Amino acid sequence: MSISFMTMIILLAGGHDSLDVSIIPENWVFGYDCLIDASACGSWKNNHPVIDSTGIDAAVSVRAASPEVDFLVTGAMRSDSASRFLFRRARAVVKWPGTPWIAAGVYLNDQQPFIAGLANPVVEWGWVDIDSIQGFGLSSGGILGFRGDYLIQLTRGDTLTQLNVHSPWMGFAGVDYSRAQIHTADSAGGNMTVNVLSVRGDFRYFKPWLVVAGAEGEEGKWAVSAEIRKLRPIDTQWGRIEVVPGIHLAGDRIDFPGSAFVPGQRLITLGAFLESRRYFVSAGIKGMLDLESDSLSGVSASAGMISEGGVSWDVIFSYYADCDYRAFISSVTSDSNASAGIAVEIINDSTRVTGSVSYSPRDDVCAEVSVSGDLDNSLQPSCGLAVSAALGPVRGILGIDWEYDSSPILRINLTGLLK
Amino acid sequence: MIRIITITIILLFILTSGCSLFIPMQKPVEPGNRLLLWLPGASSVQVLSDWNDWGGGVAAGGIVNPVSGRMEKDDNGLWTLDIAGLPGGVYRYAFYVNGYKWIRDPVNPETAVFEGRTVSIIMVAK
Repeated sequence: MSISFMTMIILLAGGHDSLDVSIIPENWVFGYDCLIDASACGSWKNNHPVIDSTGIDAAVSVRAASPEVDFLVTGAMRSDSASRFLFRRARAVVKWPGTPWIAAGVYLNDQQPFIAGLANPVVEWGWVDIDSIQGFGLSSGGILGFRGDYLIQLTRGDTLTQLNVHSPWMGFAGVDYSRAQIHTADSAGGNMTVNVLSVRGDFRYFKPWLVVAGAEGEEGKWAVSAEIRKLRPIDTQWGRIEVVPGIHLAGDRIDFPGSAFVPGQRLITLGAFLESRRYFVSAGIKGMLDLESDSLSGVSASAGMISEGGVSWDVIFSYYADCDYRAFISSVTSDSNASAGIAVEIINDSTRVTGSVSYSPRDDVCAEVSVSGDLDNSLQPSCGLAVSAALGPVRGILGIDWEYDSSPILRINLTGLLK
Repeated sequence: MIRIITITIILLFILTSGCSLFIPMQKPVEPGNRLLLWLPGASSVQVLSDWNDWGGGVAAGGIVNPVSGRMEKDDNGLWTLDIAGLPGGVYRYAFYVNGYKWIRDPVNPETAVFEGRTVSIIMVAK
């Protein structure tokens, strides 16, 4: 059945050009594409290259849309250790005739929950396994510029509901509300609710950003992040310096599936960022003071520049009150065909240096060699060679990676989107 | 700590030496609302971000679509992507170079983390 369905999709996709135009209803749009990802991985054994694994992943998507309906079906065939076919993604949406901003749809492996916070998200991608999601939803929009959707989905026996409402830009502010809730099938299991209200304003002299998150049912499951933007003590045609005060508070019992908040945090931040309007240069420094435990207190800084001489600089430094520190310094000099660079990464007591050179014989081909090693007695050298080519929608990579005390690994990867 | 101090001193010495390698390159006259990356030798550059499901990498299947967020290259080696149509919100993004290398935006001082990588942040108000 799987093979016949795949054949049907390919025939339907491949038959696009042969379709009698007269059978296509007016106002309908048909489209298809095929995303192919082929890879092979091998090693060097007994003076011979040996292929250890191969895999071909082909996904064919067929779309049909009209003012009233929107269909998308993606079927995939994966060939690694065992060839198999699966529905990867499907969507069928019906829009209310005459009012296309009101719609209802059925989804398979689509509509993954994600809720942004300030910097890091409150709900991160991958909270639930995307391959397990199936369900249906309603969406609407257009009423005074508001738009929203409600989804009820099933994921591995648990029920996931999502509600998202987005306001239009109201001249000085925009508001988003998101709610994600999981009801576990096991009555003894824990249910989880995340409510997130995000407000972004833009006034003459400052821009407030506010994210309020909370869960229901128990105390201590709340969090607040706020930052004031657009405070620019220096603002010229050359560039500006922006000072950003912020506060990040969270209850002791939060368990949001993202990295925006840490349980019990009482964090005050103050950042200063330099951005140039006319030149490729920036710098920033941010101090963090954790009033509760000091574990998040620290300072981080970053700077970057591209010089007239063709040198890219990138510096990142972080230091925390518990004496953890990390520094990364990278410098790459480039011209139209070749580049050479060095990067130093320091994480507490370990320092790793990476040198790289690349050559580009033509615009769409690049070959790069990199060598790295630790600056201690172990050295742990490694090196890699990668040749990449991008020809329109097709990209190919040939790579060899070697690490100390192990066999070289060969990689070949070809990815393309055919329409 | 000694290594950090040494490297900092070397960097400060280079920075204060007035070397021409530290005169910043000028941006295009009207950069507009675009992401820019100067990388003349790259064969391809994409912008992977929260707004495009990280090129499809977090969607079902997990394959980075080679066309998603693809930047255009001009004769000077400057890669650009127009982001004027983004709805308001906070987005993380990174440049995906040659189909295998992730780099943050070197001229965006604000950073975040995605899957253990340092990436950049853009905040769109309207």
